[in-house]
Amino acid sequence: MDGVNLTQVFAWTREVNWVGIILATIILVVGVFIGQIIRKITYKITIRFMPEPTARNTARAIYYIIVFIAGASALGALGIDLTGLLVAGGIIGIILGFALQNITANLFSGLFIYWEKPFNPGDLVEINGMQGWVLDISIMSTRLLGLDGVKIRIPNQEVFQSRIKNYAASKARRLDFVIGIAYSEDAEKAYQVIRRVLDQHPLVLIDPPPDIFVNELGSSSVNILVRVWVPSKGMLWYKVYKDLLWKMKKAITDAGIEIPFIQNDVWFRTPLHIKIEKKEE
Amino acid sequence: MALKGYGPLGEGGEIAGYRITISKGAGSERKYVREGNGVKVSKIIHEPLRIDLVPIYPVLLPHRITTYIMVYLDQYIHVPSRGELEVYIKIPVDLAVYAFGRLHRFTIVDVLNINPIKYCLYGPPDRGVIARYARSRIFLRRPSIKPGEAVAKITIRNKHDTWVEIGRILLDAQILKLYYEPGTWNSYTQEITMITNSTSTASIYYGRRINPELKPVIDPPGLRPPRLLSKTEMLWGLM
Repeated sequence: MDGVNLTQVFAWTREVNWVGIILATIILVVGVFIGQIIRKITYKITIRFMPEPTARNTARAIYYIIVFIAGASALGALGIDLTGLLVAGGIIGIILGFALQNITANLFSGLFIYWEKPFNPGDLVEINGMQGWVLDISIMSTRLLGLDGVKIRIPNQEVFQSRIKNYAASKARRLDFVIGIAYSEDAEKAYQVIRRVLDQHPLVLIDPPPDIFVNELGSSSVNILVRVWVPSKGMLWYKVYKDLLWKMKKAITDAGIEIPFIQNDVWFRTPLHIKIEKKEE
Repeated sequence: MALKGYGPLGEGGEIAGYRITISKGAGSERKYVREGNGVKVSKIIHEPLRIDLVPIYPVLLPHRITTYIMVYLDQYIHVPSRGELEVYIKIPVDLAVYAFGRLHRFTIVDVLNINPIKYCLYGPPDRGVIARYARSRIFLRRPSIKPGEAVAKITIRNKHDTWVEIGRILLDAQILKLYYEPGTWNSYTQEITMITNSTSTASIYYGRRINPELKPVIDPPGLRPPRLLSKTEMLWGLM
């Protein structure tokens, strides 16, 4: 009778590398365990200086790297040659590196922005000439709400390489105004009129005091520069900016000080002969 | 008819160029109108049990630009090393109209600014603070008080080894408490101690009320969150 040869059935079990399997399992389990612990620690540390989604993604990325290393080590313990896999991985890495160059650049720029913190959500900023309130700083891009209400998305690489003006970073900001008066007028009288307007405006700071002086002898006017400091909170500066120039102009005009129009003197290199013809009717 | 002081507003009255009128509506509502100085505020208050006029911090309402008040003294005070003196100064206060309902629940209906409003920067633009600007005489005795003023008793203590010169005092409305005497315009802060640590730095500590019989201003919820440290640091100069 043909019976089942148990010796043949279990023969393969003698060829299996049991020690390797147990070792690989231990490496994998320990790797995953260590990965989870490091993920939690990384999250707790990075959440202090990164936004929550970024901290979570960073911790997760580190976890997957550790699991990958543990998996590769486990395969090594099983006696599987990883050289081919590593070479293939390296080539794929190079290809992906070139293909995802911009994405990687944005990613790292985003991380640098998190660390450097040139602005925070809610700040009024100017990036590459675009003004707006920062809505969100994600890992790839920074989103602004423009002053005209339009949402602007700027890649982090561009943000990182740009000149950034953060209007909310300081408690006060300076506004400059130029007022031209006629050459025949008394600048000191104009100073007094301007100072009175500034004194009456609640948002013009008393300290630092406003600075008023003749800045330029212009082509058709004596230009007075008025420098005032205002609170930078919210859009208070904009309110002052809108208010002041007209109020100063009105006060100067009311005080009888002339604000001249632009005058041009035209000079001819050669004498100009003007022929006047008289028509006799 | 001119208002006589803080407390129940009744049918209203006049104060600092404003005329306040509170009239009965058809039911249990009241019509609140404030007119004057080019401003008109009109509101309907439903079922108020009482409408009071109360002093309030001059920075928190209706717009919170800052929580600080910088009081410039009209004369410098020279304090010797380890010296101590007590002075009184005046700070500006606004007038708030509180409407009370059942269970002492209340709302602030209106805030009257009766002092000129100006602000200043204390410290550098990036790290300093914006403060409501005020100027005060120095009084050696408790002065008489007009509407829109509160008196602060300041104890100045010089811990430094040399004389110090003091020309301004920074107060934080988040810590400052206001008290008032109903039926009068008398309003006070708690006792304040200014300890100078150097010729340019000082710490301001906020103590108890001057008189236990004074009525404290009830803070609207959320207006002044609790603070761990009840002191203000002056780090950018005393003059």
